[in-house]
Amino acid sequence: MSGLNHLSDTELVDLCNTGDRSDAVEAYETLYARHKDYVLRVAFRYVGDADLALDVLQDTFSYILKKFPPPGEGLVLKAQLQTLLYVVARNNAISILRKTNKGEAGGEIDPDDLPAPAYRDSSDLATLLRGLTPGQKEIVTLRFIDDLPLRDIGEILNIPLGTVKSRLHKAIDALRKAPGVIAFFEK
Amino acid sequence: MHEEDNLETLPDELVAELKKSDKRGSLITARVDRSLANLAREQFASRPEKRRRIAPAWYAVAATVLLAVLVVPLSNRFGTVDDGLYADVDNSGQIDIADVLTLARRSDGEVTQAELNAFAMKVVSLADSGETS
Repeated sequence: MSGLNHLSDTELVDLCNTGDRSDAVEAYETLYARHKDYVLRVAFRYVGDADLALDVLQDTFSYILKKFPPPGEGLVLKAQLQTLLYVVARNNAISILRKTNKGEAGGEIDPDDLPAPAYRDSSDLATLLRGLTPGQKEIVTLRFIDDLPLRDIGEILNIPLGTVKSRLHKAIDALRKAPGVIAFFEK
Repeated sequence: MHEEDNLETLPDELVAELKKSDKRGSLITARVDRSLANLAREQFASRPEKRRRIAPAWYAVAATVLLAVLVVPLSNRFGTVDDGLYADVDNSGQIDIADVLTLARRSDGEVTQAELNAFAMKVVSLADSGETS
């Protein structure tokens, strides 16, 4: 257990930016321990493969690490760290899918065209969300599994808050009719 | 959390089911953890390392004094004290064990435990041999 575990993400990022050597290393390791399972879950949603998800995990935390000086200029959090990790993990997942040619469209995955997780395995989650569009699955996942605020979801999807609200509303409507979960609404 | 975050909700049981379905056993091996830890150490290697400031523990000083009383007459094999440290710290007019304790209290980590130990040993050693300061 890290001795810095009582610190917030923002405080740990500050230590990584400006702390001395041992504090910076310990702060980074604390952030990694705190968020690695989350990043792995996000990665797995996209790539559906354990080995590829681990590659995404390592690429994501390496990317974050390089933001700290030197040589980085320092990491400035504009939203929750979790939000940044989601975006970086998603981009890395798409990049890895491109390289491995496992994309749904023969490896031609454009992040702007396909921002939603593919749920490539036959997991319970894929079953529950069956019937939703990829965009609806993503917004439900971000809101109700990752517990992200609507504003952070807007940052991730690069859409205004109003659009987040309307998409979420439509996603919940679709969920009410989804065969995997309709029973939950009838209780 | 903003007010708008509570406008759209799902049944609690469904949320719990969704969260449960997204969990899977951790695939992250110790090798992956070590790999990223090593990267972090490399990344931050050029950062300065802070000087450790360890305040001497009172019990450690007391133990040293006891050890000095018992052992010094038999053997004087401990380290020598820095002349700068061997001083009348409490301005009592003589250098004695009270100076060691005062120094330990005031040093705030600037003086190491080893230096204090050597100071205590010298004080006890001189007292035992009848020398005065």
